[in-house]
Amino acid sequence: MIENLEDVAVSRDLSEESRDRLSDTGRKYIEEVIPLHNEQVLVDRIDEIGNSHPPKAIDSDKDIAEAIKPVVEGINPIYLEAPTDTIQIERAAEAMEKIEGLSFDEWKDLSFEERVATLQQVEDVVAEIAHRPSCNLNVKKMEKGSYGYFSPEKGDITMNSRYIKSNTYEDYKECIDTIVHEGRHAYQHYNLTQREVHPREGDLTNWKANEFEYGYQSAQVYGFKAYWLQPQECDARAFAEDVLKKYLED
Amino acid sequence: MTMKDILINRGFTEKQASRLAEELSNIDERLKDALDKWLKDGTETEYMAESISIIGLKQQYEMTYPAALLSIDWVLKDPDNAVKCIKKGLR
Repeated sequence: MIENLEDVAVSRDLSEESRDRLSDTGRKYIEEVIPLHNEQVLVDRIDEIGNSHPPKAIDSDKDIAEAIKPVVEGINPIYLEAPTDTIQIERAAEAMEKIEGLSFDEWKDLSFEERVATLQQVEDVVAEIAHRPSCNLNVKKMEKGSYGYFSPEKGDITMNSRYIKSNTYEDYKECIDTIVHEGRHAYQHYNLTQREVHPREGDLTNWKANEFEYGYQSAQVYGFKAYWLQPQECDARAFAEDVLKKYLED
Repeated sequence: MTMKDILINRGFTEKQASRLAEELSNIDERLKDALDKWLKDGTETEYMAESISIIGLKQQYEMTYPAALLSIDWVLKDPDNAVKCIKKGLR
């Protein structure tokens, strides 16, 4: 990693005008740091030009995507636009097929700790495909009917140990559904607070309205109907259902 | 005192109270007595529909009484969908 930027001609004359589109100045501002192969400097410069809060995927602008093409392979995917949901679902199911212990036949013979480690692997592969950081998986005993949750404050996922310990096929499916469902909440949260990598603007609009205009409607405060019908829950349910279906049928 | 004020006094935030008051004001007739009693003095009356009960929901999902009331309200108004969704639990 090259730390010394003194030899780089630093162009800092980024007026409001040049921030609205990728001007020649903006392009130069990005291109001059590409040879440094310093990911953070590059990301910071693109975020500065974009001036969005949270910042968008660094390749969401086609001019910038073109400019960084020579180095995009080496960039951490969490800065790049995520694949569409159709592709995420397909890739997630494919990746899950390669996880040892995840098929039901293998799952039945795993210890509790091994099952937790297997579910963590599911979270890790789905996170990578979705271009977001992976969450730590915790387990605790909860009441029947509560499968798990994502904690936006801690950035981790907690699942009900009751269902992980169970040896029924139904509960095995619930475990996979839950880890993917909560991971989708982590993805929503990443997009709303850290970086917009999700490619579908309409989904982002719905998640923002849910989170910032109406507030997340927990079942504990607002009851089942409000909880069930809100955009973030509809999206997480649909995504997890599709991944599980694809994984089980393949 | 308005329903919203009562809810705020019972510990809900202003935003929560506003939203809940709006939903509770359209609650099914069969639950109005239970709601009135709770608003008056916090009495929690049981009510069951399609084998789902207010107290059961409160215990299982740590729901507030208004949240459990609204859940049963959903069961009364749209039993097929509500029961299916409630049985799927919380994630």
